[in-house]
Amino acid sequence: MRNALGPQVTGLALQLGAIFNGAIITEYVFGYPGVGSLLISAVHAGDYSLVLGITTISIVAVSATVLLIDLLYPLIDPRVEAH
Amino acid sequence: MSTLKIFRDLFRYNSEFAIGLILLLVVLTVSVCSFFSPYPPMDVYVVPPDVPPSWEHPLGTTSRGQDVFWQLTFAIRNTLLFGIVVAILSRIISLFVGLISGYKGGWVDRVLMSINDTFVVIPLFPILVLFYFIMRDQMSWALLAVITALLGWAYDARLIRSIAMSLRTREFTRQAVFSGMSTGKIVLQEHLPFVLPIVFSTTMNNINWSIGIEVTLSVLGFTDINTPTIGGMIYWANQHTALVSGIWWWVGFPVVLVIMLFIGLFLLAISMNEYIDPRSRLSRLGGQA
Repeated sequence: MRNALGPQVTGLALQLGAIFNGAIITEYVFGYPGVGSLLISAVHAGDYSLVLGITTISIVAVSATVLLIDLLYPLIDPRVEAH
Repeated sequence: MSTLKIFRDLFRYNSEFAIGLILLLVVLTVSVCSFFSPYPPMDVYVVPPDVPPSWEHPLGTTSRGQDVFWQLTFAIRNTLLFGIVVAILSRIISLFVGLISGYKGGWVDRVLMSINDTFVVIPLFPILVLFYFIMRDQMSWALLAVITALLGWAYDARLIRSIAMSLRTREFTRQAVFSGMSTGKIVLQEHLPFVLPIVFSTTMNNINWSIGIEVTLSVLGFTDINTPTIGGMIYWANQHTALVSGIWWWVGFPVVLVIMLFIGLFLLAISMNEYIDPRSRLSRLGGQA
């Protein structure tokens, strides 16, 4: 289990951006009140700062989460050490 | 072995390749039909609206008075062309970055790969939406293709880099260096041929990916809606609430066609992998893997 977990966690980190993209579509299609539907309504309303803000926040959030996953990696595989 | 013979063998022994090729040929035939269309693509109310599929209109007509079949031929042509343009542009970038960073190593590799990794992890969709928002009316088909290509090369650059790194330690590279070949020449003449089969397979996947992006964006109305594309058709259908009023053929047929294209390209990419991997080729010929 532990040995198999490593590549999966790496995969999760790489997939996060795609997951976020998917969330936007899903939120729009099913009318779920999240960042995705906010982004789309902001575009329709012509709210430039909101669109820019959501884009920035999403990039920062995803990058921060990837960094966090990378830093948590030694918990799964003790051979990896943070330098 | 000549290329034609490879294709014939693949078609005979590899059912994925055969099915993929047939699906792709169907899609290509439909897109070629656009050159024989009796109606200009953006004209509305040229036929009676909301007619279900019949002999006269094989795939029915839309609420905007367009024949779904002829509309579809233009849509799939533009969508396919978009995918191919994005794939070619992003292949050029990923080949350049992958080969150079794999061959050079050191700080060049580190710089290029940190840019590469950034592009792998960032969510692309909000960025594309932001681009649309800034460009608005100037957002043309070609501009979207360039932006998508600039965002879509990263995965494959890493793949190419990993191959280039192993090629660098091979003896023929050393021979080339000692014979005084320049870096550009080594990369282009010695390494590129080894990478090409993989590039072909990733091209298929990249076409799929970029069509997915394009369809998503245009379904939401975030592209040039005056160019007929698959996503654009679904967008107009949604605008006219086609599914609620029971005009399923307006949404159904574009979706079916684009799924055929997806599956066809995917199967081709898989079968290409089978061809590249010598072990699976052996097992096909009845040898031990």
